Amino acid sequence: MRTLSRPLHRPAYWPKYGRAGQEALAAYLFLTPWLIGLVGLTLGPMLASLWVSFTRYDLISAPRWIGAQNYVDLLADDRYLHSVRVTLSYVLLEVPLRLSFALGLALLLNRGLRGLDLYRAVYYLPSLLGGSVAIAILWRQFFGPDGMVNSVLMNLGWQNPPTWLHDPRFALYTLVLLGVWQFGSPMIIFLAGLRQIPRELYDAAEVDGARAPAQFLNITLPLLSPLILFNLVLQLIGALQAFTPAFIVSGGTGGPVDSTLLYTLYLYEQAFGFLHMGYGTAMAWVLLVVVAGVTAGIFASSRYWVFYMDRSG
Amino acid sequence: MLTRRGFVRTGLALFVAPTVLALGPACAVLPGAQSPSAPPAGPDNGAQSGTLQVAWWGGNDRAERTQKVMDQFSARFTQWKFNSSFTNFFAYWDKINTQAAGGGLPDVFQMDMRYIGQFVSKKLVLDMSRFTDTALNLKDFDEGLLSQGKLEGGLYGIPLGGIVQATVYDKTAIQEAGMTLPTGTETWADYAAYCQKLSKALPRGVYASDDESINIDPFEVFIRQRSKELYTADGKANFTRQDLVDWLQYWADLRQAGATVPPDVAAAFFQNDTPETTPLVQGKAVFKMRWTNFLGQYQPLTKHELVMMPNPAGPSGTRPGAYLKAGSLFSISAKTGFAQGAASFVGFFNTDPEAVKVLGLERGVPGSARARETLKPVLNPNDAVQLEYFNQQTKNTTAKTVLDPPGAGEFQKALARNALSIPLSGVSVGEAADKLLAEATKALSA
Repeated sequence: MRTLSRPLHRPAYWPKYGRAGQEALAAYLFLTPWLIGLVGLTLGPMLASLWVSFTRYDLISAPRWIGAQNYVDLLADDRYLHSVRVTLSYVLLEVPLRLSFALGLALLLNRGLRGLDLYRAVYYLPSLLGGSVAIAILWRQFFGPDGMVNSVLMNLGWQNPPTWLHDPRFALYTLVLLGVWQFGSPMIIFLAGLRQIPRELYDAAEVDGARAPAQFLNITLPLLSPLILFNLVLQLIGALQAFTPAFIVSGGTGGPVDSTLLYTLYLYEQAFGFLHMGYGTAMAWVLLVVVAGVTAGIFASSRYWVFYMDRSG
Repeated sequence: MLTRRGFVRTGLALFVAPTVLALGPACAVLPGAQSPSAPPAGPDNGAQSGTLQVAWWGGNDRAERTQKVMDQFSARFTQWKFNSSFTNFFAYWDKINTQAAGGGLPDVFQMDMRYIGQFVSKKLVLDMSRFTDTALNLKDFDEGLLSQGKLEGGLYGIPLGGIVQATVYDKTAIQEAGMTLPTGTETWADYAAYCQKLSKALPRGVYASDDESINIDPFEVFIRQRSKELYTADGKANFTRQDLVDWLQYWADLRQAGATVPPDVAAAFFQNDTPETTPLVQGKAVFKMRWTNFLGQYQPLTKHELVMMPNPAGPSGTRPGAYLKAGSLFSISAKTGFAQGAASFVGFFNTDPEAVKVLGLERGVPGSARARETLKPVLNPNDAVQLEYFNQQTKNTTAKTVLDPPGAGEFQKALARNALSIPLSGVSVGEAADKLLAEATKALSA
């Protein structure tokens, strides 16, 4: 680079900037498109939405300032509190299950199977597809009243299987299942992590007479813990914001009787279904603060359970 | 005995007469019949061109017919192309609201009487008055029907057809069960008794009535039979807790007796809400309360013969609850770049003989006298039945005097959700009524 840049004329009209200053300037110049995007498409709208959350706004008439009323109303809104409960049940089930599945399969695939690449691709496939509308529609058919699941169950002799999607006792679990099924991306990350663990540690443990479970608990888990942290944070954030499957499967209603009314679904209904934009954005800001809080909490707790090999020496 | 043509003509007179009379002396009398050779309105030749965005709610049959008319229009006026989308009713309004928010409403979109007030007050839709005599060609349009698209001194929606609430039933299923057919004069109590008897005679898995506790249309009929509108003139709830309890209890009793479809079937229908997923069409229910134009949507989807009758009546002496409604309207976005083209398309849709033939009565009985004239000789049996029923029933209606307020859509969803919570979550009728009333008050206060 340096040899290349030398023959170029240094602009005479920028004498007060040193070479470093000019490079920084050039860097910012090249960053401009992205910066414009960041400020114009992300930061700006975010700040605007913060303001909107303190107003009553139906998108068409001008917003009217109502102070913190939206936030106060949230606490008195039964459906809001219900949507928080539904979301918590969803997250607390889906994230651990998905991570366990991902880790379990990563362990299986890490045993030097032949055709590993194929398996990896096959198991990763649902993650590529799972968030899509098409799969959610497929899920709806699959678990629907005359769907494949019930056909199989009836053939197995279950006379009157529940209608999974339309029974409030089960509807949320079908969504959890759809979420768990998309274990591919944490699996790939775990798999990469497993390959980083030095073989010698296992050899040494074997010499000491440690069996597989002990090896897993004392070598694999600690050395994998940075990746568990990474996956946990990512999956939690994703799960708290889950929307598409619940929206499609319940026809946008969060039904039956609000049993799949995830936080974002209620937010969407308030904001775009009923045009309560102020209320919806207030919900969005609460979610943002909660997500930030949860993430910070996990990071704070990580010093007690995450083990970095290079740091421990 | 009237011939078919005879009864159609008499019927149309009956249809037009009360709606014109209802408007009172201030309103102009319908102009004389248009000369049939008048050319259909077209866009200014070559003056404008582009792609018109068109959106509507409804099933596949409606989509096919609408697409055909768009094709006809493009073939005739080659400067216009179309980009269209359709979905079910609730998803449609979510999408339209979002598009309204982003300033990207389709040029032409299907409007509902429950939403038009809201869209007009927010100035989202175009006042089409200036196209009345030109592109829209409304000279022979039924004034009673057209008045539903007129608000605040402007013309904001062109009704695509007149409809009335009705109950559709599966005649074949009743005959196979060996029961006599209902007379159509049943009160709510008679309907309940009939359904209980019928459900015992039906095969396993088939139920007498759909669960209409979630359905705002018969609920509105039920309330109007009590001599009041659903909402007050200033947009508040006009029903009492007792009204809600009576309604929810009626259906709870019917459900308890095994005379309605199970709640999961009702929930499934509420979530999908298309003609194809209607329990009546799927052979799970014998009765379904809907609007007159639905017969034509349901009949092609089942081999059983479907028949229409009025919704159950209130106790003797109460007024009819049904009303004549513009089943849907076409509105034009206030921000459209193609006002002329959009208006021409709407005019073509309502008056062009070929378009009218394709559309039939799928969206209801057309308002244009010429369109009805065109349809007379070509009506298929379903449509003929619809028209006959429509004409019989328009005299058993009372005009709706209050437009639905902005919170109406929210209340519609709240009704379904709280009604379903009774069988699905074990909530008591009283509790559900309390919650529903609270939600209604909140939704209608904004």
